[in-house]
Amino acid sequence: MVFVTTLLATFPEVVQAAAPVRLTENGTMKFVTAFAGDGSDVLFVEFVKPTLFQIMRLKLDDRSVEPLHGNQADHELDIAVSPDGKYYAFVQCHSTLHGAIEIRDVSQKSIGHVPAGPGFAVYRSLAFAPDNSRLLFTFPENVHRQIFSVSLKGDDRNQLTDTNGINNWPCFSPDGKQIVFASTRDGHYDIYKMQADGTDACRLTSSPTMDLRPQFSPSGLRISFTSNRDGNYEIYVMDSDGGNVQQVTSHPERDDYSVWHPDGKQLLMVSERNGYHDLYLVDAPP
Amino acid sequence: MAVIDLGSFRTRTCDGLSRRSFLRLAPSIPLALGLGSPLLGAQPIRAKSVVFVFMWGGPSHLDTFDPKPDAPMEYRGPLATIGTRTPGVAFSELVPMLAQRSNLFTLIRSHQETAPGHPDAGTVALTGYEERPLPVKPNFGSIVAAHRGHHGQLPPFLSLTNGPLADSSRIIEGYGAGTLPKANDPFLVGCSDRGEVDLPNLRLLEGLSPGLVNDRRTLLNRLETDLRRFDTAEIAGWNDTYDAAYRLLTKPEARQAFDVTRESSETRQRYGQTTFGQNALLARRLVEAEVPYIQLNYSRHPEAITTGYELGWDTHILNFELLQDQHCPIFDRAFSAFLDDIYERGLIDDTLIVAMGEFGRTPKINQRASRDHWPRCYFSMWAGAGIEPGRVIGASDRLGEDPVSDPITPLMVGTTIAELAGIDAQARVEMNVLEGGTIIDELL
Repeated sequence: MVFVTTLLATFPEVVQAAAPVRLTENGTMKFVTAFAGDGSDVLFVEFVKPTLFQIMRLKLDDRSVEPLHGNQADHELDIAVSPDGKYYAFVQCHSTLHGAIEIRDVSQKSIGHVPAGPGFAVYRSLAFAPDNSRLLFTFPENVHRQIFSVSLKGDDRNQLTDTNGINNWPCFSPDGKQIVFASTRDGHYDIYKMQADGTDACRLTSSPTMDLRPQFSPSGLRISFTSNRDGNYEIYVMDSDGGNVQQVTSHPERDDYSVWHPDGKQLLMVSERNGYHDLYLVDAPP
Repeated sequence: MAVIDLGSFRTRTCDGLSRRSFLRLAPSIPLALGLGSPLLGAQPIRAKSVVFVFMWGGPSHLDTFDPKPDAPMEYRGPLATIGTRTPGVAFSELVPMLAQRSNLFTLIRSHQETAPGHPDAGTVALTGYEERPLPVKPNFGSIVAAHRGHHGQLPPFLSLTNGPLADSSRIIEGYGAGTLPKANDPFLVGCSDRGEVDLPNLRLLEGLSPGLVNDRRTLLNRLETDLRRFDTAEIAGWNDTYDAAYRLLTKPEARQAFDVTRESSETRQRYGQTTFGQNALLARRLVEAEVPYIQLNYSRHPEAITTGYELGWDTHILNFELLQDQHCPIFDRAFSAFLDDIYERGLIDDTLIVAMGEFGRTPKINQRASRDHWPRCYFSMWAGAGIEPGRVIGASDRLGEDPVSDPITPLMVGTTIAELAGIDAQARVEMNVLEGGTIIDELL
């Protein structure tokens, strides 16, 4: 693989947008988010009680929230939805430090399964290919965390990265040809992009702090990500080549876990405002 | 240890929102108020209250308060460091709020112990001694409770948790009085992330159902009315343990101290809507109520991700993910708010605060890109009771594997706590506790 470093502006422009719209009210800790279908629903992981992470579904029309899988006792970490809304995948922990991948269709019928490996093993960071041919995930092996892909049946495992450090939060471009992700291969968390087969990785950001959780916009022309470069976690947007970095949020509390609305005009995020963790919609820069 | 599940119900909080809240109380032994023989010596009490923040599970020292930015990447990890208010001292970028408050506490980076697992190391952390040989020695809090006696309206030793501390195999043996009278066991109190602490067992109040209770005033009125009926009939059937707990909870002073909804929304927000955050706020209230010893537990269990267990610092897997997403944001916010509150309310001089886990985590990253148990080196944070803040005591080597200064042991921690709580060497001998323990001289 060939690595090219692209140095970007350190002080991006702060985009003055309308105030974020709050979507949930309970304030409970929330993580990983995903739009379902045409954007009418949002799926997210919530820390519903001290002993349980659970996937919740928010219906945007009436703002009702309910567990996706009803009452169940196992941790549910990470959620991903295919761009066409036909499938979803999540990580389920059945026992001590074990988390397997479940792949289901929209009726919640299981179509694929990636069992947890031996010993302590938990998969993370799921992402569907636009044509539903592959599912990305990350897994730690031999000290480092790498990006892998499998078929939607959970077989045909393919390793896409093989570097030192942490490779995490992969996301396919809308045309399925590229994958954007975060990596510490050069020392700290920065955003990288590679071809869908894992070749030609190039660095898009260079920050001494953390640049995390990149997401391609529906058009494929832009990438949102989280960064703490200004002192706390904020949402940023840049062009798909790493240029034109714009700061979307500027709040003393944490703004994180951004995903693009299917219309490409807004970003969904989890924001810890006044000590409450809730979902917000914020306008993306034009 | 008996646990009273006080059930749950939906109430309307001060801000008008409906919440589901619960209180679990666990008097571990008969708590007849007024028991205990105070052994008050001539030693001045610098710490009227002690708050021991137990970071159960073993937080990674390299990824929090003892980073090694110059170490090889397989030790250093992926996190950057940030400056603090203490010249020359850096913390992990995951604790920015505490980095800005390094002038409020003293950090020790040279702890060491020998027990490898959670229950045994937990006992060592809370008592200063290993589980074997028997008998198990008393918890530091039980020592303070025995010394102070049971004079106030609240038990002298409260442990804030949803139940007995345990890992997936067993409970911590060093949870309570050990060789001291059982009256000095901790009284367990749980507070939910909603910040509401419930009132006595609603199940005992005939005819009182969640549907009939729509505001706290109604609940309190019913409680006062029904108390008289219970005092004459049903309560006679209770054993001493439940009887003592019930009487405790019916005392106005107790209810007020436990009721975090009496705080402003702004204050509750500062601590964060998390279980640990609201329990930290409860701890501050208990300091104001002059409870001698409060053990504020980060979680009931140490495990990182285990079905049915609360999430602790034991990050054998997902170390960087869980620290980044969960533990550090929660702890950074809540502990910062707690320190701010104690200082702003003028309580710092009379309150001793100690925060630590039972061990650290492997400096060399493991096969699962995480860290395992590491008793050889870990940290603690100290504030109050006259301790000069803004310092770092002791140091670890360049990889964070071992102290380069004289190791500080759990027994030294307990002895120092006792000393500051007014239990001098003579009193410790008379109580037959903390034998062989020495004070952390650099701290005082």
